[in-house]
Amino acid sequence: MVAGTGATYEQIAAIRTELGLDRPLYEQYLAYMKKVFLGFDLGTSLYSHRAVVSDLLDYLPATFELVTVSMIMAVSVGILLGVASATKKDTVLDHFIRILTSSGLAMPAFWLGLLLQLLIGHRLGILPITGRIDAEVLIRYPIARITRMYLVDTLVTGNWIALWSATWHIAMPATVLSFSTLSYISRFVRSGLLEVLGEDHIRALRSYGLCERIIVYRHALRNAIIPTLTIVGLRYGFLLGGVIVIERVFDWPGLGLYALSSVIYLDFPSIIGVTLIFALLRIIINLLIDLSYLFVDPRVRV
Amino acid sequence: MSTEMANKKTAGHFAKWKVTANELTKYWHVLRKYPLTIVGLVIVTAFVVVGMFAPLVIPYPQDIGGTVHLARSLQPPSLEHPFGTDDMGRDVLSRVLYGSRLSLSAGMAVVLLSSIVGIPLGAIAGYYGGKVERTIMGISDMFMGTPHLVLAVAIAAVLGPSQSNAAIALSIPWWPSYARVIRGHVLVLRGLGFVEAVKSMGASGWYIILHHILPNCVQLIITQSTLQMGSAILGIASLAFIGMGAQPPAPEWGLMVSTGRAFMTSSWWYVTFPGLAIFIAVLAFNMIGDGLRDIFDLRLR
Amino acid sequence: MQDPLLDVRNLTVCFLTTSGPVAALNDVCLGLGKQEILGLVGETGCGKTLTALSILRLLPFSARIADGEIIFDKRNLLVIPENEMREIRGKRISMIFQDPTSSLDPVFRIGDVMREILQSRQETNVREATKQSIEMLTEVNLPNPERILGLYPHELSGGMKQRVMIAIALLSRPELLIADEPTTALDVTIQAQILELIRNLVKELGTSVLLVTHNFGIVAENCERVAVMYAGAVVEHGKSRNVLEKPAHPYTKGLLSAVPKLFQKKEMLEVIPGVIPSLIDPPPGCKFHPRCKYAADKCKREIPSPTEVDDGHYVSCFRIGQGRP
Repeated sequence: MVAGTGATYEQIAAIRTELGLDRPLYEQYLAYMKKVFLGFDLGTSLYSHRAVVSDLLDYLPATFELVTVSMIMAVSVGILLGVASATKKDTVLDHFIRILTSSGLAMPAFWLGLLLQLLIGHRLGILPITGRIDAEVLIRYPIARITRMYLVDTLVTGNWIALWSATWHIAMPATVLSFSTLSYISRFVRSGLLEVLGEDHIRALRSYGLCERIIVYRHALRNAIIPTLTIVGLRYGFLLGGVIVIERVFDWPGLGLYALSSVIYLDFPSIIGVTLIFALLRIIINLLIDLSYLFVDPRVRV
Repeated sequence: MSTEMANKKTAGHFAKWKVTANELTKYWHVLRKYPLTIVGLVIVTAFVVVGMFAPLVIPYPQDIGGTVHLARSLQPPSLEHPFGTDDMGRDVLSRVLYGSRLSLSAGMAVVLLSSIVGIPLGAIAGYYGGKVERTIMGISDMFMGTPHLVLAVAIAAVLGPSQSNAAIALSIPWWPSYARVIRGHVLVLRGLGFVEAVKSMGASGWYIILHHILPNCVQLIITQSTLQMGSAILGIASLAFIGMGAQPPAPEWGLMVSTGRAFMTSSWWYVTFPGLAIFIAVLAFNMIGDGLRDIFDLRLR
Repeated sequence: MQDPLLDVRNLTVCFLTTSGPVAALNDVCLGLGKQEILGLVGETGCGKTLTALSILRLLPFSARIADGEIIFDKRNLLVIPENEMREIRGKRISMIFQDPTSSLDPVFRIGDVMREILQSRQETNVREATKQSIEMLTEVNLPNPERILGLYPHELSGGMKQRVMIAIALLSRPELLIADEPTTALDVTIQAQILELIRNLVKELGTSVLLVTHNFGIVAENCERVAVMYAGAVVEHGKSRNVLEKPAHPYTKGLLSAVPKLFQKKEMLEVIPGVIPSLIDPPPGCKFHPRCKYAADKCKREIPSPTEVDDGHYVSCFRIGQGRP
């Protein structure tokens, strides 16, 4: 493969020695690990012939931006809906939200994405269907290359027109990606909140005459948020998986598309590189979540 | 020991597994209070029946495979083709109905694989505790957070894309959820104290797990499996969508949406109906799972 | 009684269950005077906690008030609007609960909770609220109150937590304190301290206390008057001395004789036969009749109302005068 089709035996043998493929397996593994951790060298892509690392760095910001925006949406809207659903239990609003969240957990993301593209993008022409930004806008209002995340870079440099276009473009993909996590979080917050509201310390606070709003938003919610953090951490991994599908649907040039094309071309160094990076992202997020426990739950601090 | 004693012993072993008719009627009375669950059950049964008897039921059985009738391609829904036809002129309704066989069997495969690995590991972890528990839980944590699609993509790359490989690929990040849940339940059971009682009568570890702990987990396993089915079907469809699952010309729901994407703007029915099938199937399983969880929870209390 | 502080009349509370409404409290009548400690005794499940919660309208979600009035300051607490009830909670009627650990919000510092309460009740600034909080913590004999303000509940011991609860409940010098088994979750030595604290505060602040407990010993030591509850109704009430020395209701008699006394020479403790009746399917007439050795036909058909047998001593029984010691 590396040598291209039609290579002779001698050529293949030569490349094998060069790549160290004829050495025992564990030696190859060790050599690879050394390269990864000491030199941050993930090898060269068989397809693009660039260092895998630079390929990854090219595509990472787009994915990171999409996943982060989705997560923010999922958490904020999810908590909002969960609180509304819990405080207005058994009302029309509650039932509506519960139907919505049930759908969110059952709906295939790619289907939702395609339908929205069809209805909102194509038929009604409100939101753009693919890509991160209007090509025209990019040419006339070039975006600074700071973090390579369009929303951040345009905001920081005051490039309002490009910011507008980028936001418009990220709206649909982020919404679709966040929908299932949003539903999950909303249900979780709802049940957690209902459970907390039945607990003794909430009853005690009521006996002190505090108004319901303070009790729910300041006390009950604080208590219910703690287990929600764990959920957020777990769902991040789910999002990292789902982003691949979303990137396909919306032609979002990120790690997902990169992973897919690597698989198609059997570009093994890239495949391994992408898998490693996803794993790394997940580990970092888990670490952050664990740290945030220290801030939120006083019982954890020893 | 005499044959009589041996027979009695065997009967006693499996007595706990037998469900009397009395219990079943009790369950029915409780179930009646959960209409949503019943709806879910009905829908799922419909899918199962269709899946099992598909070749007999569907209007155009020859359209399942790679037949081509280009003259009839991309027709909108009509009386002859209620879901329209696809780019090869095949009846979409027939393919969607047959697809339930593919999706449900793949889903079951994932659930089966995950539970075969996850349940015993979870039971062992919860029962023995200590280092064994920590090791098993550590391994399962490692697998659990892995973005399942990423792993599946990687595996598909190595093994080649196909539906069965997709099912294997999905089971790997999913067995930990079984292990966790079972382990948690085993810990609760241990806290109840009857484990010590049986142990003091001289029972061995395996005996206890098989005859006392697992029967108590049945409700949990059923609930968990139902909920997992929904996610499994979604996962299989997603993998097929990005090309890492079933390959054409299989009438797999996710695959059909993927192919239909190219014709989406002119032929909306091509992506809509297969996706709708996924949605309804998963929704039905979720409704059952949620209802079961509530029912079993209340009864446990 | 003349001019009671709190007058509970015919309080009837139901639970909504899948088998229909179930009566948990039936025509409960209580009277609490100013600056007095009234004990509310009974077994677990007799409805004493429910009665206490009803006064502040803090009933659980599935409970409904079916009948009755609770008169406080010439108003019926059961019908006033919620915002007026909130004005009363904590400021005029306060409550402390059985388990101080579960009754304190674990993610907030003590000081934060106290200041929040004070600031929501009156227009004060942080400094003034802190001052008042420290004052109250000192009143309940907590050492180093400034430090306690900055602590979380899990950093305090059981006795300290209960004192904090009392302090929070008394922040605005309420007229009535409802104490729901305040010492059940504590060690015996701490129990005595907490009860002494409550007695002192009653004297100092002029607060009345409704002391809910299942322990007659506590009643004997702390309460001037006592009411005995069984299966959702008050079966006997009066001055503690009278009720404890000359119990008139068969249930009270049974309870008191089941308690071993120091100089008694007995082989076996007297036990009341039978179990508490089920709420879902209660026995007709007097709820105690299945277990009562004096039960007559009338007891099985009608529910007895309170009759006065002595000065302020009331009993709900048809068989008074039978088998009195």
